[in-house]
Amino acid sequence: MESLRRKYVRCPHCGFTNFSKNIYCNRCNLKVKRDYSSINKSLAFLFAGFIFYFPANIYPILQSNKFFASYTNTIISGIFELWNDGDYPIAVIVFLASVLIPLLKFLILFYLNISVKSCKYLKIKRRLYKFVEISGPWSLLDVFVVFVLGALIHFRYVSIIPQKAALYFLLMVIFTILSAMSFDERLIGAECE
Amino acid sequence: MKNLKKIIICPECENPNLKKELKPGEIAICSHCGKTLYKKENLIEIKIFSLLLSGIVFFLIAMFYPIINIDIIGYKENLKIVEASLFLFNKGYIFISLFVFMSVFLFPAICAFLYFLSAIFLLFRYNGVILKKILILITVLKDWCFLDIFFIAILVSLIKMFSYAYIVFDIGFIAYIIFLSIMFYLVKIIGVETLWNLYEENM
Repeated sequence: MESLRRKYVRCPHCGFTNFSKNIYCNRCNLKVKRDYSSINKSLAFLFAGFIFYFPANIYPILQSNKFFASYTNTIISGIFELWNDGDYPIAVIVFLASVLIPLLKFLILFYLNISVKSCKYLKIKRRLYKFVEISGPWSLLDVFVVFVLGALIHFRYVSIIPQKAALYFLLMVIFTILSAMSFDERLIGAECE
Repeated sequence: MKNLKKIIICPECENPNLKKELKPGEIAICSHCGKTLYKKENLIEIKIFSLLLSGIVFFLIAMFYPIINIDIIGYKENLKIVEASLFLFNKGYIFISLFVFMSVFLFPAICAFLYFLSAIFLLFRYNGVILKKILILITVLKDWCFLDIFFIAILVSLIKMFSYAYIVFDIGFIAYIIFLSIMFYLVKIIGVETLWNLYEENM
């Protein structure tokens, strides 16, 4: 069975079975070969995303104007505001999607990239990758909320204006999605068989 | 190549399994981990075709008609996705508005249209280069459609506005939910791999 596993490889894009030596899939022509250069690509995207994590959390993401009062909110202060207003479930969702999951994604992707050749905890690593792959885009929630609020509330005396952290946050999420996409999951445990 | 078509590798445990001809309604599972590998469904091309025929209509309503109307101390505004993107683009939020426009309007629109085209091609048993290119495009683009996240973002925004705005759901909201459900069913439940398998069966 092990020899069969080494002989064939599943195309991650269309599911077709190819010989391990194939570089491109016989059915969809997309790349199928296990590629160690994907680690460099994934790490590069990850660091790019990590750079944007700091301005995304330090700078304000929203500016709210109500009549003659104007105040700005960072992601963290927005979560506290939701919590203090009693919107506990929403505060938890925003906290998970905007603070905890991005941070976990960085840690997990970094760990996966540096430990890809290690044969320990293979099952856990595969599950961690699945978690990153599925939860990754959900960090866009905050950017979309800013978009909806900015597009809806732009009156003379009441307005919500997106601030620069929204752009940094969006860039951070895009780079981490690209990092997760670049990482070749099949490399986990590839040298342990 | 012919021998390769008889083998299917489990996406979960990478165990190679021999492919078998299934009867309608049957599912094939991995002999090692028990994960569902493929299933035989009746008239899947017609199902995709009819779902997308209605899906495209709902998509147009969802994108060009108001999703929600709000009223804040007499000021009224509504949310239309395409108009909102253009509004924020003109306000100088170029990257954010372009990203939302592409991930919530353009890519889902292209994906839905390509699914629709592939269903037509599969119905007529065409399996040429065009269908292959369409399937490759769907495979690549589907990962950049964020309709579901945008829907949750609308709900979160509504909760934020609930205390100081009068909110009315409009026709676009219902159309958006229906289109989202159709795309969810096609992309997550039926999956692109089913289309690839149908393409291969026609060869």
